[in-house]
Amino acid sequence: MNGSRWLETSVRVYAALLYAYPASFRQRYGGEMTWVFRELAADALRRRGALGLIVQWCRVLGDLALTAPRERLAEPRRSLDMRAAVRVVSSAVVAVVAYHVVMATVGIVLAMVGLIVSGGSHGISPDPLLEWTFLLLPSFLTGMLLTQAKPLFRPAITAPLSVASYWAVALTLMPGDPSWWLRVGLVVCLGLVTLVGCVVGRKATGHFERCAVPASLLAGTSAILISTFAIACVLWLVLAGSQLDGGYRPALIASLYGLALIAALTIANLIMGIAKHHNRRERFGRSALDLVEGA
Amino acid sequence: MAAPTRRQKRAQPVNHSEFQVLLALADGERHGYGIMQEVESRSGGAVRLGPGTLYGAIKRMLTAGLIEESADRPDSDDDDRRRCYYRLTGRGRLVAAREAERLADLVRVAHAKRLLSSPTPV
Repeated sequence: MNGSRWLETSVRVYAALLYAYPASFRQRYGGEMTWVFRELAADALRRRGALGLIVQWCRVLGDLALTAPRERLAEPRRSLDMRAAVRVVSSAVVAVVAYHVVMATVGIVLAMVGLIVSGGSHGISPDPLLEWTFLLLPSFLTGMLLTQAKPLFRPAITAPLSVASYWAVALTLMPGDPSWWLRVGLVVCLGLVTLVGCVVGRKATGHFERCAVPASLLAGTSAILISTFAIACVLWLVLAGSQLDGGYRPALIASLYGLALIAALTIANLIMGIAKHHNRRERFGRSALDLVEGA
Repeated sequence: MAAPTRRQKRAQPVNHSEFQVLLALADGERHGYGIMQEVESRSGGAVRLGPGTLYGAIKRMLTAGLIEESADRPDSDDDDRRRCYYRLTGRGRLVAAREAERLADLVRVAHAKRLLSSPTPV
C-alpha cells in the first residue's frame, strides 16, 4: 500500500471513529476535524513515513479517548416525551413483526415447494415437511441475515462459504450412504435458496430501513426467532421421544450450527451498528412518527 | 500584586488548552490546523493539541463568547471550504489578558521565592 492509500484509509478510519463524539458535536466539527486529521497525517507521512503516521495515530487515539467521553458528558440531556416514545416503540414493533411474518412465510413456502418438487423425503427425518423446513428455512434466513450484516461481510463471498460449511455438517451426518450427486445437488440447492434469501432480505431490509427500522434490530430479532425455533424443535423432539440418534440428528446439528453462525454475525453487526444507531436516532423518531400517522 | 477589578473578576477562567488557543488567536484569525501549528511551534513541540482537544476548546469558547467565527478568508489562494477561521472577541481578549496577568503574577512570586534564576520579568 503506498503513502496516499495509507493516508486515505487513515482518514476514512478517523472519520468513522468520530462517531464516538455526540451527534451535535460531530455534525458541527466533524468535517473540520477530519480535515485537520488529514493535514496532520499527511505531514507525519511526509516527514517520517509510516512510523510518523503510527505515532500520529497514537496521539490522535489518546486525544479521542480523553475528549469523546468529556463531550458526551457535556451533552445536555433531552427530556423524554413518553407519548412520542410509545409511538416510536410500538411502530417499530409492528414493523419488525411484519418483517418476520413476511420472511417466515417466504421460507415456509420455499420449504413446501422443495417438498413438492423433490417428491418426498431424502431420509434425513421421518417427516418430509419438517425435513424441508429444517433444510430451507434456516438457509433462507441465513441469506437474509448475511445481507443485513453488510458492514462486515460481503454476501456474495460469505453466503456460499457459510452455506457449504453449514450444510456439510448435515450432509456428512446423513443416515445411510447417500450418493454424491444427492449431496452436491442438495448443497447447490441450499446455496441457491440462501442467495434468494440474500436478494429478498436486501430488498426487504432496504424497505424497512426506509421505515427507519435499523438492520441490526432486524438481525437481532431474527436471531431470537431462530433460537426460539431451534429450542422449540429440541423440546418437541425430546417430548415426543423421537430417536435423536436417527433421522433428526443431522438437521438438528445443522440448525444449531446455523444458529451459532447467525449469532456471531448478529453480535458483529450490533457492535458495528452502535454508532450508526446513535446517528439515526433523530431520523428514526421522525420516520416512525410519520409511519404511525400515515397508518 | 494589583487587586483585580470587578470586570476582571467576572471574566470567565480558561483551562490550559483554551488559553493556548486564545494566545494563538491573539495576533490574528486562524483556522483549526493553523492554531495547532502555532501552538506547537510556539512551545517548541512541547504542547500538541489533538483535534478533539482543539475543537472541544473551540466549542466551549464559542459558547462563552470568547471567540467567534470569521467570514473572511485570509488565505484565499489555497482556501478550502472546510476551513473555518476563528478570531478573538473583545471578551476573549480580556480573558486572555487576565489569564496572562495571573500567570505573570505567579512568575513574579516564583522569582521572589528564588525559584527562577533568570532576570525578573517586567
